[in-house]
Amino acid sequence: MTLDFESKLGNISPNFVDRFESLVKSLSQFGGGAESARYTSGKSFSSAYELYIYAFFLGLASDRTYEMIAEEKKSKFMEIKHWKPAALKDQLIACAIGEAGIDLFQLQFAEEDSQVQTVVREVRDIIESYANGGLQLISEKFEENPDARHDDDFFLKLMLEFQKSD
Amino acid sequence: MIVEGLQLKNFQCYAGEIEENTFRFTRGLNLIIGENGSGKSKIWDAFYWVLYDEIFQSDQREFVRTSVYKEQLIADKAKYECDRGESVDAKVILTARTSTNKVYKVTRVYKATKMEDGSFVGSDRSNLIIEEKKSTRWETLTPDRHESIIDTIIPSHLRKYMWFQGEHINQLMDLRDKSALSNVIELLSDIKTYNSLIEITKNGSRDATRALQSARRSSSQDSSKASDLDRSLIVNNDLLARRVTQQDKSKQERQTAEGLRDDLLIQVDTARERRGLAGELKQVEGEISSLSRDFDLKIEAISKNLITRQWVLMHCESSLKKFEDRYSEFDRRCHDYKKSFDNDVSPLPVDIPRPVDIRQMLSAEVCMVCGRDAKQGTSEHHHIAELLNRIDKAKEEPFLNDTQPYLSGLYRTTLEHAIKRKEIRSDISSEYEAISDLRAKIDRKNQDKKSLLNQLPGGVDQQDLSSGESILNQFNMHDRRAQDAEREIRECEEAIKNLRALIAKEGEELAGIAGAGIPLEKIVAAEVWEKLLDVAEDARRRVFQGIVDDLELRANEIFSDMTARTNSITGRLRLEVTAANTCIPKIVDSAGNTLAGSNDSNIILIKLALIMAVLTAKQKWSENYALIADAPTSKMAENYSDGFYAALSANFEQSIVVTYDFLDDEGRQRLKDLHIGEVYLIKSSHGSEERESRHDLKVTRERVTL
Repeated sequence: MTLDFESKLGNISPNFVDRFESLVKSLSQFGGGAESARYTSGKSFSSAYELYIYAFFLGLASDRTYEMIAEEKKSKFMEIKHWKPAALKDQLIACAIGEAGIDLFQLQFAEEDSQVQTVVREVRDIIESYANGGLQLISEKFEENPDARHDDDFFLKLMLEFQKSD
Repeated sequence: MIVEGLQLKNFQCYAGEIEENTFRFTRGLNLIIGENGSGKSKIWDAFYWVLYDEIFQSDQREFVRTSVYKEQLIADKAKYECDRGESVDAKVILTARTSTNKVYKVTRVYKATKMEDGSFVGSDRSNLIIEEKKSTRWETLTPDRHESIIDTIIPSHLRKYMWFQGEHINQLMDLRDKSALSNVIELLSDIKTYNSLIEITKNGSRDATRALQSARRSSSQDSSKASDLDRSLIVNNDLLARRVTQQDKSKQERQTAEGLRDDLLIQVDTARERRGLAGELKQVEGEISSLSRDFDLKIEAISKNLITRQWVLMHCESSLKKFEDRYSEFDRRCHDYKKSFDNDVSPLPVDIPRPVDIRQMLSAEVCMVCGRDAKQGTSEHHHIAELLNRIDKAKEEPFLNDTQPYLSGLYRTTLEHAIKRKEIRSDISSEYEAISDLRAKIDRKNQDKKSLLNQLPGGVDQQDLSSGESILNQFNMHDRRAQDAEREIRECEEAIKNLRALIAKEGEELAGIAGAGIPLEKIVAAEVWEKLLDVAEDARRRVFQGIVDDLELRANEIFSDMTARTNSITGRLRLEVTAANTCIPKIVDSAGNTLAGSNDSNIILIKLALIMAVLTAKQKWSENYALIADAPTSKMAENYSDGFYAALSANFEQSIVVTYDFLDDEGRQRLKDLHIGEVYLIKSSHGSEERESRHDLKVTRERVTL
């Protein structure tokens, strides 16, 4: 049973709400592409999941969450188990578990698959909430200043803005 | 011969009938003025084509015949408007009046037919008709008279000096080129006769000497020695002639090489400086390029570093702390649970007592370990029976779904990266410092580059620097050529000296052993021919120098007229005759020193002055024929060209110049004091906005009154 929780987490394909689709496509090599072509094609991130990871940690840093409601259309993309680097992916999951109100000990006695799925869903919800919150923040910043899109260190500076009490 | 008119029908861009494209000319300076692309050069083409059946193609820099150019001669508009199956023609008519008041009309026509697929098929040749005006009609002349009439309008030997385009001038008057000078001298004089005279006296002298030697050999008592000497003299004279020819060639080569080298001399110091600067600039630019590449890579990597160097983790410690807390509690509870789970299991090993012994104890209802009774139904009996289940129980796991290995892996990862996370801020600072450092270095290098560029003289840009290397290479190459030629001249000189001494000695020896009775006329003939050769060579030298002096004098008069309005030109023209019978035109000061730094305008002006000098020096061709030039001042500054037009107007009975000078009224005011003929302004226009298409291209002309 041990692998179940890990593999179920790995099989999460997180959603971003469709209102951020053009943002995701404009900032990342959505669907892949050579790294050498990334900068020249005006993309800051090599893949959509890199942007998603960034957006998650930005949401976390700024405490910005997005309420994912069932009515709003969403899109999935690459499953978490394929995200790289692996250590960064693990720390993202650790943060999500940290933020989720999960009783890890009870998970030890889950007798049914659905019980594990419930916990996995909680982790996914946390990831999606912060990541979409981060995407929303990026979107707002671009609306305030459209030129920011062309600023090479925009994403780093945005992250540095949040001097959270770590 | 005065050219009175030029009429064009559908000739190149001159679409339309003869009446729409008629130019009338009179004595004096006639001008056809137009912007670039307005159809000016096509006028010059028309003059040339009507007489010579050829068109000058600028891109290929050569004249091509009608048989090659074919339907391109016909205006696109006319071809476009021509119906399929119909024919269209291009026509040029030139009208000229001789000094005896005979008027000739020269007409050339080229016809092509439009085929069903829209293409044109034209004949390989044009038709030429020459007519002479009689009192009431035009009389067509037979083709056998065509050549002589054309030669009357412009003699073939003068054509290139009187009918030229701006781009031909340099080549036409490159007097360092021996053939160019010979052409001019031959044009101006009977120098060919002197050349023939030298050739005759040279042959005469050689034959007379040979006859004398032969007579001496025949008369000698020592016939064997005399024969040897005679043979040797023949061989040595032949060698001498070859050496002299070789030396002449080397002198020509030295002259050419020195001329080219000296032309570059003034530029050498600057070229060396430029080469040095170019080297330094190249190095600085290489450094800037390398630094910029590093800088760009760093800038490009900033967003990427958020992921690859995990900078995104800079603010996640509190979340990870929550995870650690949850994990610690989880781990503790797991540990406690495991402990209590383990406590529930019998402390006895699974094989003591053995199951067979247990079953025996249950059957006997006694504990064989302690000896007490264990009746069925009692707790003792039950306890013994439980021992049979301990093996299965020992195999059981405490948790149904143990996530601990995975969670402990996550926990370990967060711990392992804790130090790296702490260093993120300093890592980012270092990266920003590195970027800032690179930027500062690039700025410094750009400053260095700017200082180097500031060292460039005014008007020189960086592109010009590359010319430094090329100039030095050319200079060195011509210098080597001159040195090689010089060495060959010295070798020839030495060989000639030795051969002459040997020939003299052998001649004396042969004379010494000759017998009596050598005919006096043979001795005298040899002496006379030798003297005649000296006289002929001296005469030719004097005539040549005389022509050059006349040319120089006349060119200076014209040059002086031309430059009277321009303070920036000083000095006078000097034609320096060299040992190799070439001539170098130079601008010198009153002391004869060459004035350095002649620019393109100066050089073209000198060449034009020379052309005019050639045409006005002796024969007064300028009074009898029209000079027709296309853009002769294209490489001249305005103040230079004014002098040219003044000289043209003063020295030529008629000239027709196609030019883009004097486009505006104000400019044309400068013509007021000149002897002006007709002035036309031409303009090309499209009927529609479709400028790529030439189907509706038309040239309009307007006669201008000054």
